Amino acid sequence: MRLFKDASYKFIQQRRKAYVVSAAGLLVGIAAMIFFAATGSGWVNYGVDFTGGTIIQVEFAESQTVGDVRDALGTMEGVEITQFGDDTEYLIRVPEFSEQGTNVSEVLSAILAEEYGDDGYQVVRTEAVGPKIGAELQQRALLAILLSFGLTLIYLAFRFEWKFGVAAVIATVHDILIALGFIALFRIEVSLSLVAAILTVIGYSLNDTIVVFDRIRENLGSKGRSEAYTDLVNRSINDTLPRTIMTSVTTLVVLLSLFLLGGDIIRDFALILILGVLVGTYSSIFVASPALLEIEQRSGEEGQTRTRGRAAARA
Amino acid sequence: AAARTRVEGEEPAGESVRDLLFGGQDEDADTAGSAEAGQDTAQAGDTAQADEAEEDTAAVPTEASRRPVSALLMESGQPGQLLVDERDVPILEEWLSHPEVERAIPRGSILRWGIQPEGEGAELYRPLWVLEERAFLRGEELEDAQPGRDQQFGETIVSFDLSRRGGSIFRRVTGQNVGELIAIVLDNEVFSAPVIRSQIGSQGQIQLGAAPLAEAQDLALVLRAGALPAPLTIIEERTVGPSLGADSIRQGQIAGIIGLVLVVLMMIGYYRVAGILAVGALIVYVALVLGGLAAFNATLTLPGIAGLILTIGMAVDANVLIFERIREELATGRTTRAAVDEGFKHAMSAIVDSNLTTLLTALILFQFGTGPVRGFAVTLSIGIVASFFSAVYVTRTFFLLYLQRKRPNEPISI
Repeated sequence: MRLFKDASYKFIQQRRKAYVVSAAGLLVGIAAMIFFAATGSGWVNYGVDFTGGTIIQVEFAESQTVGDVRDALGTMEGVEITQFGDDTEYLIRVPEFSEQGTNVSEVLSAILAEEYGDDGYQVVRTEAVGPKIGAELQQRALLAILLSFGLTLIYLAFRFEWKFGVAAVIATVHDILIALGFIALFRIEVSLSLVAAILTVIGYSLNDTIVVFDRIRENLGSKGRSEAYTDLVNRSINDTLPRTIMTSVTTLVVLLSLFLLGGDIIRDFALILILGVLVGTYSSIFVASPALLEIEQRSGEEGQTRTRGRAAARA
Repeated sequence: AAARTRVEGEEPAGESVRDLLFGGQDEDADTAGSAEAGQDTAQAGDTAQADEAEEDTAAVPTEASRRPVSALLMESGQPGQLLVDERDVPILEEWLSHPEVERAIPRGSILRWGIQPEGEGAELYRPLWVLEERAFLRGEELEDAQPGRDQQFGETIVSFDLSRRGGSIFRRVTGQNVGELIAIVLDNEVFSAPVIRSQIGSQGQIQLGAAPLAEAQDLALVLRAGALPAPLTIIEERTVGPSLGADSIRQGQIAGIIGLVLVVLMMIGYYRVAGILAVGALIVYVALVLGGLAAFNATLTLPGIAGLILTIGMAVDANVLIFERIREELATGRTTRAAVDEGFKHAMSAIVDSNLTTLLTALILFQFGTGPVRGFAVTLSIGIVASFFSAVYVTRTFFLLYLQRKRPNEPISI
């Protein structure tokens, strides 16, 4: 049994439809970012890792409403209370890390102990980050991502050609933007863990793209019949289709298991990764390869290949 | 034997401290408070004056009551240093907090305890130093301190580096005070008080003589640690309640195991015997990863789990690449053995390239990341190396073993 044996789908020929889909996805994401930025809640829902502040996740022995919790906390300024899961679990978020020398987390713990007694509540987790750290983390995360792009470009330029490197980076940027759009739209909390998830997505997408590019490189190098660049790229995609499907499915199976059975915190994580695998596979076929094609066509040799490429593209 | 310091006449307790420090009314009370700015420095001037004092002839029973403070203070051989019987230390401390006594101490000077008592057994004495109030050099100017041995004489030393500004201050002060003592003060206690042997700039040595290396290491450590200009403050705090941690682990484990079982079933179902070989290689991979994590004592964080998932995906992917290629080669009619070889060969370039780029990314993340991102980078790196090894060598070895049991053109189950 071999899935997609001898496939010959016209991926590249259909790429304009894919452009539309990608554009739509990107637009929705960007619109969400702009909307939320304009209405003041930040283009993404930054967690305290990046803004600084304190988050306490508390599980109460008895059901509470947001109002109950707010009353209990009294007059602390800037407190944001959200329900987390069912009505006994709440996230308390304060933008400050420390006030006049005492850590906010301690203050909150003291208030909770007073209001609810030791048995009335349980701190599920605390995250408290000083403001300087938050800003520093933003910078470093950004720097790390940019640097890894740069290195990838250089490596691919070295092992393949610069065109492949550029195409791969374009596909990866596409994936990041889609992921960010998703995160912005659904207000998923951006924490360090989420950044790691995004990086995983980048890793997977790159992986996938390189497998296709490797095949293209091999087909380019082999003698055989001369064909239009477009057809060659398309054939390469089709050749690697069995592998692409199999790998995506196996990874998705693991991720689905984590999503469904892994518990609250892992669930959000797994969701991003699932999205990442889907988008990463999509982008290797419908973004990276067409991008390579476009780059090749715009910068490639004059003459036959080019015109044939154009003619085939119009087909 | 320590001589009692000179006292003259009957004076109230407060005044006798001054006498004590400055050898009586004739002396200039400000020898200690000289014009030099900077680190607490003991001046040779102080109690050396006391040398000129007359010896007490006899301890009069009432003397201690007349001069309760000075009675506790004894001169040591060293300038600027007094000794106090270890047992008297708490009493004296109480006295020193007395406002009158405080006022009696001349302006510009302060008293600081040494860190360790001297002497042995019942005869333990704690040094009390008379220092200039203003330190002429602060810890911020210290850039490094390292223990070592002097090349020439084999003495134990601590070498230190000062900043440029610190160096110029130090040069000036040491130049003007060769032969005198400098007190190194930490947390208001005198850690040590070496003699200035010569003018020193921004690099110098503190010679500890025949002291063991451990003493030099301690001093170097204290110097480096003490150079912090600000007290330690918490800048980041994360706690995970015990129930969440345990829950997460359990649920994560269950989910992970179920996922893996499904993958195993898929591999075997799709690739048959070759799939079994791949599963064998994956088992080796998991062992390698767990071993690697244990060897590096890596902390498994949530992002770390994400990294592991990615690398499991890559390990499976590597095997899939190889098998698909073998299938292709078989479809073009190659012999079994040749197909396997070609399969491995052609799949290699894709595996190498994809693994290397991901590894590069992981290394950058490790460099720039903090905390959980680093955990991610570590597990990712370990996973990539393990998956590469497992797919390239282990799978291949299993395959070759499998082929050995088949005749040359017998079809393989893939």
